[in-house]
Amino acid sequence: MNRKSLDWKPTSSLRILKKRAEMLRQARCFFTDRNVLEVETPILTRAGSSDPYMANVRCRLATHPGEDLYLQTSPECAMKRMLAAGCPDIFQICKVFRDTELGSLHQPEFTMIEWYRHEITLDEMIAETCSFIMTLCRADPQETNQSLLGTRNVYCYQDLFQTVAGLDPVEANLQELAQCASQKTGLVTPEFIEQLGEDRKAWLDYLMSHLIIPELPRAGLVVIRDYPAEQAALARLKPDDERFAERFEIFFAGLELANGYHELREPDEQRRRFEKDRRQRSRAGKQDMPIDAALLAALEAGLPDCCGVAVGFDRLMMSLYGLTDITESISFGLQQGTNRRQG
Amino acid sequence: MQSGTLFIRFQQLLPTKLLGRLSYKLSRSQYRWLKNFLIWIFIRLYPVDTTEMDESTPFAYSSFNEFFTRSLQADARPVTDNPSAISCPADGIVQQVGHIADGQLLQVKGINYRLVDLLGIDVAAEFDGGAFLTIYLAPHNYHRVHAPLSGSVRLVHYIPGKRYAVNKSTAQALPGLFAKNERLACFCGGESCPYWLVFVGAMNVCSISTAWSGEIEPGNARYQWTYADNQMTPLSKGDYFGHFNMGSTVIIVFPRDTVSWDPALGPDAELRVGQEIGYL
Repeated sequence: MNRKSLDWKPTSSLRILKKRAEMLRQARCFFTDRNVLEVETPILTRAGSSDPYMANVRCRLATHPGEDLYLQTSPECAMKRMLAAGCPDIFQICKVFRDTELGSLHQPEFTMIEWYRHEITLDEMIAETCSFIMTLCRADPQETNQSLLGTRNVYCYQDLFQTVAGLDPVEANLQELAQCASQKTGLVTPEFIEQLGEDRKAWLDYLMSHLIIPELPRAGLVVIRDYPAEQAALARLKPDDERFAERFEIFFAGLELANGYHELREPDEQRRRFEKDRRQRSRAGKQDMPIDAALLAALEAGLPDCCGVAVGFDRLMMSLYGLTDITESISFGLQQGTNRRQG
Repeated sequence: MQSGTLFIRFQQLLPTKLLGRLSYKLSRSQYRWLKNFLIWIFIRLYPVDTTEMDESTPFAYSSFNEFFTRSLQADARPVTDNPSAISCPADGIVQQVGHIADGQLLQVKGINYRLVDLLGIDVAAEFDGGAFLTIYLAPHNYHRVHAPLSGSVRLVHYIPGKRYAVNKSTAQALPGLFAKNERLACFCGGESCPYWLVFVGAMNVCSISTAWSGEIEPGNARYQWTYADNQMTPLSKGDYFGHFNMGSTVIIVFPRDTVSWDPALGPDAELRVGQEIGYL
């Protein structure tokens, strides 16, 4: 191999590397100004994510023969254990790993900023998350994309679906979802219908990414809130309407930047969701994941009422500086794997 | 009576394919007059003891299924305090009781089926020769199932299958019935003695729920989940284990040379949760 042709340079420009360092500093200031404690939790964990749509990166350690360990897909469970143990408001800037597709918006390793606030409503958490993103944007007014500061739009998931797709995401059956997908996007083949099958969430996700998100305003942050209960993940259900969960996501120009919950505190419900994840994993032919017993024990001991949110920092850098490929925001982006047998 | 005729019509719908989903929707409907109508007909047709129910006003239940899977007042089913006694896991009647011979359980007189077919796992080494009990839960019975012994759930095996009725006449006509129907086999590593508890689905059973996982939606492939030591809260004897959303059958199986049944236990004997049914 010709040494000179080897692509050894950072995938990010020096300018962006400097901006990145400055934005990380700004982020830490944001939290220290608000008295939020910085914490670190292990990247290497014993319980992988049971989320059926999440692919864990598995590790083997000489000290743990016969046992699989996992790189964290999110620091959520560990941070909740800290909260249950009496920690005040906490934040973390860490690397997380997800073995999903590589693309201009996806890297298997990425930087996440995650924080938790006690005794705060979902509305307040949405406001704080928007304020965090906008604070970073304002910190470098000459060079960041100022359209991010435009009018913020907040939509309820159900209203958005009814308005854009013309169907109710809670009531619609699979047939109606598939019909809507094929009529409005025109990309749905019989193989595709077969592939998504009876997976409601997959249909809703498809409609969200192909039909709804392209229609969202391009300027200003867009908040989607009150997801259907089946997409609650680790969020609690709305006390006054259990068909929906207290969960939100924030988008800018169609790019998902943040995902937040009013956290579920009830251990029995958490276990039922874990068990459901396991059944879904089995049904999808995915690897079984043991249940995170430590999180259940922590919930049993008592998680304080809190909201939490995770912001994808690399994507936030893309939004702030108008980058089109995620590798431009990080020092060394992982390139597509090559087939070694041929070399 | 008009209500009776209507109920028969309702039952005539039962064998159709559509029924599963229809009865699922009907039984969970929170539409007031509909759920009250279903509860009212049910109470008129079956001898439900409303006095022992946790919520003694039948119409206070938010759906027919809530009523059907009702809990009882705390003292309605005292659990035996004899540490060596097996506590009855369900209300109902004994369909069969005995020991496993050559890996086979008795379904009804003259018809056997294999333990390995029931559980989907070969445990003959430990369980051949062991004691088994089949309990039939009639529609009016209390439908929650309780742990017969203290211990932790170690393995759960979901086996999809048919939804044949499980009453006596069907059991007499259909060999291997319990190994054909949809079922959930749970293995518990007891503090005292391990055991299998099998929820057998039936016609009208929309789903099975367990204490730790909630409702298990029907699927079309077998799945097996195991639980490590720290992953499951141990169940004490008499604790709520799971329930059927509509009627069915429970089978419990113990290893060889561990349990002897109460001699009074024979086919058609009436059972109540918590009573002594056998001894370690």
